[in-house]
Amino acid sequence: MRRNIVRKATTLGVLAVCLAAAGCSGESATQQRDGGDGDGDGGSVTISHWQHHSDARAELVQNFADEYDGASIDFQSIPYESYFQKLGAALEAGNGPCVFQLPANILAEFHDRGQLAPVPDSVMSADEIEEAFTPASIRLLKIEGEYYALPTDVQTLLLFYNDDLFEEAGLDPTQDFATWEDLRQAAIALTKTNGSKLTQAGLDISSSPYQWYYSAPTLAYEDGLVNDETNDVNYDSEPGYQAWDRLTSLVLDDGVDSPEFLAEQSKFAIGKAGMTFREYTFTGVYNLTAPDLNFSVHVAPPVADETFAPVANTSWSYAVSKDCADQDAAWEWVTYLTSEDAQRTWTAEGGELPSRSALLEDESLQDDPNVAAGFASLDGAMPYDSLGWDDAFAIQQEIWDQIVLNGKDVQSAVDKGAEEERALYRRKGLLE
Amino acid sequence: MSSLAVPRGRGARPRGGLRRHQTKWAFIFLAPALVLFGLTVFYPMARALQYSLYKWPLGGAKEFVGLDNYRRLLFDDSGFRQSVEVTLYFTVLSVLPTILLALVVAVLLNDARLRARGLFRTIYFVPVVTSLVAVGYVWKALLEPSFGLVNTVLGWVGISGPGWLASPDWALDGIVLMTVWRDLGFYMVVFLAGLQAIPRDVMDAARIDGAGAWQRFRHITMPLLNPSIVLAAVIGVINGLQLFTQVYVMTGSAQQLPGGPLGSTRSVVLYVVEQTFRPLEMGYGSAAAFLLFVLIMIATLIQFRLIQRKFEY
Repeated sequence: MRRNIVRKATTLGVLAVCLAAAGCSGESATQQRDGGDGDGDGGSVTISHWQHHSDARAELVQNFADEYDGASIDFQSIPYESYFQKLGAALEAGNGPCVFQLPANILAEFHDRGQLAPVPDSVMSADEIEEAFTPASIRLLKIEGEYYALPTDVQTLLLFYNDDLFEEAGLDPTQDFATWEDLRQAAIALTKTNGSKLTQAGLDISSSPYQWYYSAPTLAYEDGLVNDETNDVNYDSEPGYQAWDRLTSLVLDDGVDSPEFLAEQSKFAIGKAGMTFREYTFTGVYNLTAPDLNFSVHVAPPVADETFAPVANTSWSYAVSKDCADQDAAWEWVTYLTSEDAQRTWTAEGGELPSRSALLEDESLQDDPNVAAGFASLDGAMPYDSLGWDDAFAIQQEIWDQIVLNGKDVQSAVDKGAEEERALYRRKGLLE
Repeated sequence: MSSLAVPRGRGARPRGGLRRHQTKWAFIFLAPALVLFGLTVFYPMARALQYSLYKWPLGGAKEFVGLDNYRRLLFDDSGFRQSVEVTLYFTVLSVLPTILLALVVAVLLNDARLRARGLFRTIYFVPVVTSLVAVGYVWKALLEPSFGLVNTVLGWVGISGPGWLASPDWALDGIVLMTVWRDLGFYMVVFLAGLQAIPRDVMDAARIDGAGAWQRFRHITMPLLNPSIVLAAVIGVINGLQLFTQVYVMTGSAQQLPGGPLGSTRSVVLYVVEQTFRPLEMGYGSAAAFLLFVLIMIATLIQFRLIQRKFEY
């Protein structure tokens, strides 16, 4: 009896240790499975691929993976909310994927951590990359003379009109605005109130503000919000103060939106706002989620007459881990995903604008006038170049909230934000 | 079996050998759980304590900085101080009213004269078993300032409702309101269990001695309910200090970072997550997590000291 108890207790203890150890172990995602030996010999190589999830994108990547015969693709589509946590921790622990998706404006951060492999010349030289892709889509991918990713998911920030509300207000929904002042006047005309309460916003800003934080300052900075050479932020200057003042005065002075009106709901999608700034992909999103919404897409106006109006452009990119055992095979897969053929599919079915220059003139992709407007916007595309993601967005949100909710003056809110952004870059090792 | 039997009887205590024997067996039986607990709780805690002494941006080199992360958090970091204030405000404002309300509801629902007691108990308990995430989304809609039900009802009685989650002055109160509503049922059950454990003969004796309802509640029910009150307070404060899900769901979205507006709902746990995973500062985030652990320990010990009473009946 006693021996039995000892044996059972010992067994339980060993089992517990084994379970715990099993839970702690994990195969490196960069390991070559299926007997792959890192020589890139076609189907015997397995390339792990991570990206953040959307149903449409996941389906497209899986289709590409199924068709691809250069390697076996171990694809994981990870919820956006946990994507960066999981990727950052996995890369640090050496369990990261071979291929992963990154926003172009935080590529430098991962490069600074030494986690990226450059595109090898054998796959695509720098000259070939510059010839094949649009300048805006690759500007942030070149670091110290080498490319560290290839572009995907190109989006420009466009002005969406609710055509029915425009006509109701006596405005012409077919016309682009000539200047920001015209946009402002239209927004005022589109705004409806009942007493002191908004019942229709001229502009939908507060339900999804980041597109506005990207767009409004970008319009004032033809060369980008961050200095290419030094990585210093430059929006705590007169054009920057004016940009934030133009944006916040739409709420504070003109009352064309309010943070408390249909808080965090997409006012534009439910027909309660005359205009909004959104990524190009929302042409497809609104068609799916708000089929009765009659909208058109336009390029944002310049801040003043006769000035160039840069269109804020965001894009993601496919990068390869420096720990990936078979980097050539990984880059071949990335090249396949960003090829002209693949981009036709991304453009037609994935709600993306092409990064391949050759596709810009392809009229077969531009049957829909809203899609054509998206293609046209690429002419003035300027990458949104803040060197951060949620951490930088939090700073911009704070600038907005300090001015709009806390009544702080524009200059001091912007100065404080710029200093915080510099401190962030210094912590990341991107700024001296 | 007989070898494990404990001798009973006046003055019978295990002798040295037997005591050692029992202790050995206790450790053997506890070993599997202790091993698992050690690997999944104590080991990560020890590593977090270790990391908190380093400056460690993920991907960069680890640099030993001693207590500097703690110094920065306590003296230089206004964001951390704000998150502590938010967390303490939430804890006080959610735990106290919830416990008081739950006590009242439990006393009412413990009255044998009340009809449909089971139905009322179920109604009050349903929010507890509902997903906090689902409840958070529903309350987010209820508290929407322009068309939400709460402000609409306030409007019927002539009150212009506040901006709730869109206002830095009201956002945390909105979260408190939801938390009180949701947790009420849990504490009600704790108190009901305590009330039903109070011996009936003690109450009857007090009644015969002429004690009124208030006197019975004040001098019999409350003292005998002390263990339940301590339990509710300790659980409530620990949960309050670990505030996260409500804030994450009610103030965050694909377009908005949680914790706003202006950090008015950023709890310590959310701050730890932000510091650890947004700029990927593992050392700094670990230090913040450890300070929260210390805060919870202190709060719990204070509660035991202040609330716990020894009594006999």
